[in-house]
Amino acid sequence: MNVKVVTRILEANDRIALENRKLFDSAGVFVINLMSGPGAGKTSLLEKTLAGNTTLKIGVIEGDIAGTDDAERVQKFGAPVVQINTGGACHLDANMIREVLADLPLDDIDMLFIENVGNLVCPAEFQVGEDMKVMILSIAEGHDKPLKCSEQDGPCPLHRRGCRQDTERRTFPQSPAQDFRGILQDRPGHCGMERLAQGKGEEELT
Amino acid sequence: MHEVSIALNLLDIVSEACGKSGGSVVESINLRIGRASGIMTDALLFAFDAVKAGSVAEKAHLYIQEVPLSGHCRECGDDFEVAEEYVLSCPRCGGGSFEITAGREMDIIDMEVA
Repeated sequence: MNVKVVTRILEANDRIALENRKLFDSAGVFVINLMSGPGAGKTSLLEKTLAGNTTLKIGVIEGDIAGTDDAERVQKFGAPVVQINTGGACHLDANMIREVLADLPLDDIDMLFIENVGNLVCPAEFQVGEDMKVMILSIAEGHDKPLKCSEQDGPCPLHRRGCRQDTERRTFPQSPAQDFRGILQDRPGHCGMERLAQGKGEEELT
Repeated sequence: MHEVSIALNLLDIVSEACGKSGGSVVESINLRIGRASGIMTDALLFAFDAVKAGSVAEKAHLYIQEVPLSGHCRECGDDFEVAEEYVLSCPRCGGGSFEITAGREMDIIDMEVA
């Protein structure tokens, strides 16, 4: 007997993501799924955000293959944080998020950052119930990263980190900032770039 | 890279659909996978073989129809299709402003149950 299915394979994941989203919405939590390659600066961005002058009550879910280093870094700022260890999986999925939601005081949080596993490929495919995906690129990864990881080129604000020390180790055909602009300017899905760099490279990167 | 997760999602969906249809085993499943979906079909076949053991789809065979990557150029208006699993610029005019119109599919079409 032939049975028509006609559904996205990730529909099972998306369904749980939608349930998560309803929970977030009813608790009034704005959720950001923070993605980047390993070492681009996701946790550093969280640290700066938590140290900044904000009245928002921020919670964090840390996704890593192993270890609690990132959760410990974030916890120093007093933010409620849950560490997920994927035990080898290269991304967070909706079910992993659902399983830890009971450990977060959602009613006391305005904004939840979900720091995904450092990986520029797989996390892009899996909705977790977020309001927004944010991707960070570091200059050291190479100026052409947006071209190489086209999975990530959906509508998502792009944050770019860099420092002179990193750029000096690589040869760019033109300045990294020009290259990024050149690559992204015609891609309407990308709504913005923001400089997070500190130090000597700043002028070049603005 | 995440084909095991994809295979598990696939198994959940076909198991549920099989139950609803009144069937007891899934014999085959037809999938449509885009070249730019990030899925390696060999890896998906391997992963599905690993996760289907002991399920209603234990003996199910996956048939995968690959969809080429195609797009529409906003600069020259050309509709193009490429053999690769990525596209960096319009193959006709070299422009960088284009939209992907097909090739990112990751769909289950239908299945045979008994």
